Order: sequence, then structure tokens, then C-alpha cells
Amino acid sequence: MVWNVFKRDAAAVVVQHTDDPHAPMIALDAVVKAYDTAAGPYHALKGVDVRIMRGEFVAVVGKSGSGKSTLMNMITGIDRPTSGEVRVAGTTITHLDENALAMWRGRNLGIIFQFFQLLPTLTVAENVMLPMDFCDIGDERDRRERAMQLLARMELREQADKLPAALSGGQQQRVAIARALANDPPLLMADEPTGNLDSRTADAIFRLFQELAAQGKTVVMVTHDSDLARRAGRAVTVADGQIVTPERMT
Amino acid sequence: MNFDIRQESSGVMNVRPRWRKIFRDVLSNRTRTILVVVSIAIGVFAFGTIFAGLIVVQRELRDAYVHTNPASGTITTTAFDDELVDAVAHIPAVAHAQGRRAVVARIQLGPATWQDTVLYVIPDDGVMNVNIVRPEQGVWPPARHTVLIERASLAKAQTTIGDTITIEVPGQTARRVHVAGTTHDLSLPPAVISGQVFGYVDADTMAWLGGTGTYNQVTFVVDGDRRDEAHIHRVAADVAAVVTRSGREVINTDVPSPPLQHPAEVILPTLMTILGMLGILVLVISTFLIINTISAILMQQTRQIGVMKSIGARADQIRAMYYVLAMSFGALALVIAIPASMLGSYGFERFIAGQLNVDITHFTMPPVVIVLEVLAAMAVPIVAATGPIRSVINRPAREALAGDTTAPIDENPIDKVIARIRGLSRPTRLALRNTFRRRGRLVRTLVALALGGAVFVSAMTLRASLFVTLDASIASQRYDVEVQFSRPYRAARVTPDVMAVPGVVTAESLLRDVIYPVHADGTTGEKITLRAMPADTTMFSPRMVEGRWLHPGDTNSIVLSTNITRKEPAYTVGRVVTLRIRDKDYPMQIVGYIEELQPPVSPALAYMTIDGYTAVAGGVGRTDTIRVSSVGHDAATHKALSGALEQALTTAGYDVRLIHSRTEDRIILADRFNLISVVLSLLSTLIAIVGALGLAGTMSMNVLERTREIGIMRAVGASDHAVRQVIVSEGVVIGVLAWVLGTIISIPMSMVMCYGIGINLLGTGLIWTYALYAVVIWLVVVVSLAVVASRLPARNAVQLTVREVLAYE
Repeated sequence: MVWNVFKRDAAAVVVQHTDDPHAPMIALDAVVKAYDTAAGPYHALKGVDVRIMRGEFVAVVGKSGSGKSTLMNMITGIDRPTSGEVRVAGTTITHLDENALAMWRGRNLGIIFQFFQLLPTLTVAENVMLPMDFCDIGDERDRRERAMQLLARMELREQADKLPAALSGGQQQRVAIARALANDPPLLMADEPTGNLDSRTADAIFRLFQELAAQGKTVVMVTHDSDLARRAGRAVTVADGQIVTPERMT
Repeated sequence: MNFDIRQESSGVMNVRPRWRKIFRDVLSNRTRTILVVVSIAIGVFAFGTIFAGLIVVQRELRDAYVHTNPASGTITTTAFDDELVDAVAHIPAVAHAQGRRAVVARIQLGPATWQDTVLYVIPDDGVMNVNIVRPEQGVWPPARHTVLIERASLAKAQTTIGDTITIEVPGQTARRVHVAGTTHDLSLPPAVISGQVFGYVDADTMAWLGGTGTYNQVTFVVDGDRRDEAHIHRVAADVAAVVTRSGREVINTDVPSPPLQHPAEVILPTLMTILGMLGILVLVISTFLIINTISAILMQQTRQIGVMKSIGARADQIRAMYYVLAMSFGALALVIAIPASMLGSYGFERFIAGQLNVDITHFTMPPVVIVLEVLAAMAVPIVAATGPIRSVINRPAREALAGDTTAPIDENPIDKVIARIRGLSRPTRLALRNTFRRRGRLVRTLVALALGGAVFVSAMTLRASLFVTLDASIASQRYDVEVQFSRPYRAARVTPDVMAVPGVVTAESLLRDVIYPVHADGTTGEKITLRAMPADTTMFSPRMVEGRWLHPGDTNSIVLSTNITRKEPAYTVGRVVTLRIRDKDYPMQIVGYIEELQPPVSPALAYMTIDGYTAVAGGVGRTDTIRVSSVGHDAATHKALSGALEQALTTAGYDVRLIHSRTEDRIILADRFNLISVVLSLLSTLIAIVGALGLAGTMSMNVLERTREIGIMRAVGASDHAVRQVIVSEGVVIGVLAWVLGTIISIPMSMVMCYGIGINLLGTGLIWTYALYAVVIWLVVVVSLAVVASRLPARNAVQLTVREVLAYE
């Protein structure tokens, strides 16, 4: 019924939560992802095992088509594994339905995209308020206040009431980071966040991630820039659907 | 609803970001919003206008009619005065009674042109209590030697208040009478339907004109339930008994069925059904267009939906957002549609009320119509949005984030056909392929445009069929001019006199009468107009529906027009029925039914052989009607011949009641079709506009989605002309496909419309005459619309630079 769309989804989200501070923030066990293609099944991930601890800043590197974006999609629940288990922030997300996944994402992780993906008809502040709105966090005044705080932190307070199109690429990406932080998630996932920025802006964004990691956020950044990867706390290299350098520390 | 609109302390309306997004989406693409809003608004407007108009007219007609205190029954007898009226009024079950006299007369319009007229005698004090005639303008009651004209027939009488007109009661001296005013008489069929002028005079004036001033009909209103037919029939029997006891014979008892229904009201349900269906069709067509637009919006916003899902939006939240978007279009449409339909229904009501001769005393938009408009305006976009919303929301987040929702272009059979066509330029080939890329959208656009075309062609076909049926009906009357006398003459005397008039080729004499069906319980039905003519007549070529035409030697056989079945449903071919002819009842066998163009309010027609008729009614060798054929059959010949006959026969001392020609009859009948023709033309125009808006919307969506593709074409050297050619050709291909489809649909659609309207309005199916000219007109219109609708997006596309186009996301 049409009326139902205006009701809050009452279905309980079944999550298996753990508060163990020593448990990994991200745990992938034997994750396989295969796609059906005209040429037969294509294995983007071939039995991947990954552990990422709380507060880590991890760079996922690899060439185009190596499977790094698929890996990111597994962690964010944007895509589902063909087999294996994905456990993030204490929740086994593999069996959550799309709705439950969306709610879980809203509370537990912030995603930053290569092309920023700000909603063009919302102002900068409204873009930042949107995750709080969807997750019913705080009231409207609280949301605005928090959005302004986050924008101030990103040095974008003056731009709060502008539309994204009026901002530079670097500024837009900082708005996207502010949006990712809106619900104060423990985990930030960034997919090629500097891929569309000049090197100076990319460096500034990278330093921001370092600061966030230093403040206790778990940051996972997919990049093909090996220089940036080297500066992360740890780099996980994906090649041909497999993790090839899981343990190298900087 | 789940959204929270609060006032901030600053006083600025504070709306959640998700709703701000939706409202800005509505406002950001104004062209798209205008197209959708206007599409819905036109649908709701057409629907609201038609329903409000018909509801108000029906309500006003009923109210106004009831206020005239319509007669529950009328008994026709021989001459009587107020004494009998008083006796009837004293019957306990009679609330009101009144005497009436109607006299057939004619008004002179030109030297040899006369207008058929009925004069009613008004009580000297002007006080009426049954079938109350309301004074409209001028003096009431009519003074001596003056006449009041019923307002709807004033134009037919070609006069105005203050004029002096010539009135002639048959067989009497024509007299100059002053037109002292107008009346409004709702008990009579509108002049446009009857083709007659109605006048009102006092008894003295009637006597001065040579007519009979005494009453011959007593009308009465029953006490108690005025809608109870059984009760009315019982009271009518009491009234008839009083009339009989007074020494007079009851010629006919007429009890209208159903009671308290204005004669013209019978056509309203049919009008309501047909126009209502067309109104709903406009809404359906606009629904297709809204599906296209909302699908396009959702497809363009698929990536945004993916982003919203990735930042925590639940499916129900996103669904609510896009339903609100859809309803915003409906709400905006209502802002236009409600006032527009108020204005539209006002005009529509005035038009129909004018045709039915009723006043709209208080114009109010029926609340039920506003409620229906709100429901329609909200329901149409919701229904239209449900499929596209479900499809996009159910898309997994990964696919939604990928954004590109265009189905992969795989080769389909149509592509193969296009590839085989030789001589097509590359851009034309591309345009043809593009047409079939979004098949769902193409189908919806085609259906909308094709339905528009089908309704247009059907409406024109209906119009053509009405007139072809009319012409066939007129053509079945093989005479050119008919002369009706006030009394019978010897045929052997009249015929040579008529034949002596220059221009007359042949003449045939017949007799007219009024007869009544007699029911098993002794009551009589509505009057039937009888024509008694030679079985081998050369002046009438009947269109038989069932049974046979009259044979020479038929005595107790009768042929009826099909509209009798509405009044006497038990009358079937082969059945022997009782008919009252000249106050005596005779068994007659129905041997056939003929098709005759008759509005439902007109009396049924009956035909007998003249020998058969005179055998029961007398008058052997006499005639009161002569039908004449002439050398020419055009209006000018008819007019000249009518004049010549009038002059010759009047000079020869005949009491001429009426002379009318086939061309005049056609004009009177054609007038009756104006209402339906005008309304259908307006609706066709509305439907064409909605179809055009749909095509414009589709083309702008197609071009917008192919912005990048257009950039690539231009980057590899396509000229502005080539880009424009691709886009405009695509529009024209859609237009032509819609034309083909619309033409096919219009054939069964117009057949159904012709049958339904014919049966309901005229009592006979129309002669279906497909309007090929309309098919050609629609092709020109649809191709022009296609060119116009695709020129704007094409112009926008060629104005973009390659850099802008390739950067389009």
C-alpha cells in the first residue's frame, strides 16, 4: 500500500553485535565474488581473508580490475559475496537484507566516493545533514549544528549554504568527508577519494584521513596511488582478486 | 506522513533535507515540471469540467423543472371550460388542475416563408399552477392582441420584443400581432430539438386569430407522492372518470414516465457516459506521460538513490520521497486544474443549459467533483510512479551507484530490419534505431498519442456519421416539398392544383393523424404520429430495420419507427397491438420497423396504407398532406417552390397549415447535432494537446539522456544539421507510428461511439462513415506536433559545446 511507505520500517534488523574492543573492525573470511558475464563466470575476488583493526588507516591498492573496488563493496555491504562471510563493526552483514544494510551503513560507516556524489539540489550543509535525517539522529537544530561543526572542521563553514556546483573539487570532497562523518561512524570507507583531485588537494585530503585515524576512526582507502598507499598505516595490495601483501606496515 | 516541518526560532520554515531535495527537484527542471503538471492538469480539467457541468446542469434542470409544478398527467378530451377544471381540482387526490389549449399556427418569416408554431392559451389573470410558464421579459399576462414568445424559440421566430409579426391559424385570416414579451416554459422541449416556435396568447386573442379559446386538455398534479407512477395512474383514472361523467370523451391519457423528468433529461445520462469516458481517457493518457516522466527522473537519479542508500536511507524513506515528488506534480496541477475546471464547467454548463433552455441559477462547483479532482490529481501520479519507483528502489545499491540505467543495447529484430533498408542516410538510420531504444517509454508515448489520434478521428467519424445518417434519413424522404393543410380536401381536387404549380414534377397525397397505443389495462401510451400513404409510394424509401414495408392491400398492418420501443418495449414485429385511431380502438399488426432519425423526445412515427387507414378512420379520397417532387433538389429550388406553392394554394382557397422542404428539415435536424459536435471537437483538441505534451516530454527526455552520445557524435564531426536531423527524425518516426496505431484503434472505437450515441440519442445506430479526411488531418497534425516537440530539444542539444556535452553526468 502507498500509505506504508510513510511508515517507519518496523522490521527488526538482526545484527550479531560484539563489544569486544580487541575484535577486528573488519573481518572477511574466504570471500568469493563471481559475476556472470557473457564469457562465463568472472571471479573478482577469489577467497579473500582480511582483518582490519579499530583505529587502523589502511590503504587498499591494486591495478584497475584487480578487485579492490569489489573488496570495498563487500565491506560496505554495497555488494554481496558469492560465498564467505563479511563481519564489520561487530555485525555479520552477509545475511542482512538491503533495507537492514542501509540502516546499518547509516549508523556504522561513512562512505566517500571518487566523484564526491553530493546531491546537486541540496546545499552543502543539507548534504551533511542528510545522513542524520535518514537515521533520525537528533532534531533538526542538532543536525544543523553538527553539520556546521563538521563543515567548520573542514574549513567550509562559509560555504554551508552554497550548492555543491559552486565548490571546487577539493572542497566538494571535504563536504563528502563531512557527510561521511555526520553520524559519527566508527568506520570510514573511501573509494579513490583523491582520484579526481590535484596532488596538493589530494595531499590535504590524505592528511585529513590521517587525523581521523589518529582520533580513533578506522579508515579504509581504496587507491591506485602507491605513494599515498605507502603513507597509510598499512597497505593491502589486491591483484587478480586476491590479497598479495596483507601485512606490510609502514 | 513522516516528514517533519517545524518553525525555527528565526521563523524560517525548517524542512528536512530529504524534502528540500524533492521540492528543489520539482522546481529545478521547470520545463519537465511544466510538461508533467500541464499534462495532469489537462486531464483533471477535462474530467472535472465534464462531470461538474453535467452534474450542475442535471441538478438545475431538475430543480427548475420541479418549480414549474410539472403535470403528473394530461387528459385530452373535447372542448371544456373552467367548470370541468374545478371538478378535477376537487378530486381528493388531485393537488392542482388546469385547463390547456394548444393551437397549431404559423408565423410568417418572409413573403413565402412560414415557421411552424404552437400557440398556447394563457388564463386571463396569468395565474398558472401546473406547468407554470414563467414570464421572462415584457408584459405578463399577454395583453389583448399581443403574443409572448418562448425565449428559446425567439430566434426561430426571427423577431424581437416590440416587433409585430404575422400569425396565421390554419384556415383563418393571418393577423399582425405585437410581440409583447418572452416567457420561459420548461415543460416544452427546447426549440433546437422541436424545431417549432412556441407562443402564448390569451383566450380573446386566440378567438381573434380564429382559433378555439376553450380548453381541450386538463393537466393535473397529484397529491401525495408525485414520483409514484402507480398512484398517478390511479388518480388519472379518477380524472378520466370525472371527464367522462361530464359527458365528454377521453381521447388520450398521458402520464409521463418517469414522473418529474424533464423531456430533455433523457439525453443527459448518455452525454455523461460518453463525455465522462472521454474525460477519463484524457486522464489515462496523461497517466502514460507521467509514467514516462517519473521513470526518466528516477533513471536520472538512480545514482543519487544509490548514494542515499549508501548513507543510510531505507527503501521506505526513498519511496516516500519519490511519492511526494509525484504528488507534488499532482498538487501543482490542482492549482491550475481546479480554477480552470470551475471556469470550464461554467462555460460548459452555460452551453448545455442554453441548448436545453434551462437557467443556471447558482453556479457552484459540486464538492464531489473537487474531491474527485483532488483524488485524480493525486492518484494519477501515484499510480504512474509506483512501477518506476519499485523498479529503481529494488535495484541493489551497487547497481544504483553505477548509475547508468540504460539497458545494454543489444541487436533486436527491428535493428536488423532497419539495417536491411537501403538508401537510408546514417543519421536517419540512427534516428530509427534510437526510436526503439527505450521501448517502454516508446510504447507509452505511442499509446498516449495514438489514443489522442483515435479519439480525434472517432470524434470526426461520429460527426460525419451523424450527418450521413441525417442525409440518409432525409434522402429516404423522396419528396422535395411537403404541403400540410389545416383540414382534408379531396385529393382529386388538390392534386391537379398542385401539379399546375411551375416546377412540380410529381405529387402524392397522404393523410396525417395522431394515434395512441392502448394498453391491456385500458390506459393509453404516448401519442404516435401517423402517416397514411400509398403502399407503393414514390415519395418515401423506408430504411427497414426489421420486418417488411407495407404491401398494397394491407389493412390492419402498421410499420413503426424504432424509437417506439423506448416507450412501448413490448412492441415487436408480428405482434398485434391495440391502437386508438379517432377515438376508437383497433387491433393492428406490426409488420416492420424502420429507421428514422428522431430525437428521444419526439413522438414515434407510424405508417399505414392510405386504404387501410381510411377503412377505419374514413376520409376515402381525401388528403391533408401533399408531397411534391421538383426538378431541382437544392435549397434555392426548394425555397422558390415553397413560395410558389404557398401563393398558388392560398390563392386557390386552401387552408395551408405548413409548407416545409427537405433542406429546411435537414437544417432543423442538423441543429440538434451541434451540441455533440462542439463538445467532441473540444475534447479532441484537449486530447491532442496532452498527446503533444507527451511527445515533447519524451523527446526532451530522450535527448537529455543522450547528451553524452550527442557530444560524441559532434566530437567525431556531426554537424548541427545532422544532430538536429537525428532528433527530429526520431520525433517524426514516433509521430507516424502513433498515427498508424491511432488510425487502427479509431476504427473499432468510432464504431462503438457511433452505435452508442446513435442508439441513445436518436434511437437508431448511425451509419458508420469513417472520416478519412480526419485521418489525413491527424497525420499532418501529429507530424507537425512531432517536429515542433523535437525542435526544442534538438535546438538545446546543438547549442551545447562538445566539452559541456562530454562532461555531462
